[in-house]
Amino acid sequence: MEDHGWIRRAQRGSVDDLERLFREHWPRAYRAARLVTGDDAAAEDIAQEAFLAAVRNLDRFDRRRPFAPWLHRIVVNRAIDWTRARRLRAEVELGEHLPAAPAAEPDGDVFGRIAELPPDHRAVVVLRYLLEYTPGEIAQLLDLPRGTVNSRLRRGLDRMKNGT
Amino acid sequence: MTPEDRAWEVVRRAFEERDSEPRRPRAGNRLGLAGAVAAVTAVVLAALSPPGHAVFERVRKAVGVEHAAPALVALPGGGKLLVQSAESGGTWIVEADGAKRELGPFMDAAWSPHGLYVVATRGSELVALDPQGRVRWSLARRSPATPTWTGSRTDTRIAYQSSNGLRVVAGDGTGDHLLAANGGWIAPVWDPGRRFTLAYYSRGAIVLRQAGGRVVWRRPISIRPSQLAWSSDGRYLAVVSQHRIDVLDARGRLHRTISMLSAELRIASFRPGSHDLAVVVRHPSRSEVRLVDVDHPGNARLLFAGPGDFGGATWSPKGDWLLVSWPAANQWVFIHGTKVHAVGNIRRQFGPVLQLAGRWCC
Repeated sequence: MEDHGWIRRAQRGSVDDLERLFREHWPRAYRAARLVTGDDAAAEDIAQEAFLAAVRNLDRFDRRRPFAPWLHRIVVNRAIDWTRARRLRAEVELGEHLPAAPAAEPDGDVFGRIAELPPDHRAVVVLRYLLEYTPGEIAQLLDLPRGTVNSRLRRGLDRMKNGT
Repeated sequence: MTPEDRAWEVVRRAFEERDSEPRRPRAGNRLGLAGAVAAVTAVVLAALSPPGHAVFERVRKAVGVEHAAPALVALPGGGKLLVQSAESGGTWIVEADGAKRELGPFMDAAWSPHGLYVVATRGSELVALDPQGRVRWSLARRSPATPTWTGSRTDTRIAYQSSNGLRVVAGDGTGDHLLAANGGWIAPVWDPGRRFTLAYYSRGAIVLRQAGGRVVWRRPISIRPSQLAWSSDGRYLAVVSQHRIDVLDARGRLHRTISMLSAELRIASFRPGSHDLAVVVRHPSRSEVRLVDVDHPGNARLLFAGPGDFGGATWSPKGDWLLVSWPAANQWVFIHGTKVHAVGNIRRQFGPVLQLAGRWCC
């Protein structure tokens, strides 16, 4: 992974290196947001906002830390917030509604079952099985006890298996 | 353009703006204590939004009370401005040199096409005034509202709402007639690309209709609009609702839809001579003005942000300045690229709740 070099050069002002960093991480950030929100436009907004946060914090970013978990933490937390807010308002509220390119997804059945999970469970499942974090890493990312992560994973998988 | 490319454009612009701005000072603040609380609030809120550093600098300069001019001594960008009080019914004309003239207790004031006259309402009258406030003609109608004037120097029309629907009258007060019995939900807007042709909302649809009565097109929409706004070339019509803006093209086809996460959309206004749409956005504790390039998806630049409500916004005639009313700060904020010029004590000069939209004229 060349993240550290790209970040170092972007900190010095290199747009090309920032773009390399962006292109490397965008697909997974966007897909994670899309799986949690179930909404193309919201996912685009959320992933974009996460990268903008990265730009704002670029000077202060500790290059010894891995970039991806930091980015995914922002993406998933914002995606959960968005999903909860939408449920509360019970109406569609998105970013700019633009024709989005169809993204490659897990098979449609899995996607549909993930979408039926509550937002908290959905986030944990996406982090574990799309972004391939360990339960310990997910606990750190979401500021949750590891036991909570495990139980949400278990319940999430049960619900998906049973279709409830 | 894919979502990835759109997002990259926004990220790249934020990165470049960040680099082009002076670095944020690590310690110390030149703002005085009195302005610091408001300034810090605005800065923190603004920094949550995309082009953080640039906005940080703009808001920091603008919010501090000590940085606002104590009175409006000139209109940046020239022209002349109609200021309409929504509560007390006062109407003023502000000239380019800052000179103010009160026209009287009118409502809904709007300019004639070349700024030679003003149309307004007063009780059950539609009135045409000269810039000195003298009534040239008046028309008695039930509950007239939101008149809007279009045309050339020799032939003009005024559209307005009344209790029985949308009506049209010639600029000399003759030929008043009902155009649409159900066209009175929101203010109608004249199409700048077609002679005497008007867009309005009626029964779940946007209707484009000639003043003579012929319907050009009718486009059903799924939102309940609060405002309509044309681009100056008549190519796009923004249909604004609480959570969404549908941008229609000149044939009434949907060109683009715009909305924002967890925010209400209050007012939208196309910059003259462009397809840049300034949108006033209300979040729970703050407001923002964003500039959306309708032709290039993904470019939604944050122009200004601050706590509380923004009262309204209007472009200068050339489109180089945007005036934003900020009642919470008792200020008007003039924005020109990266420049911000704030004027304070607005309530004392004009009154509490002011309408500006579309009132900065030639």
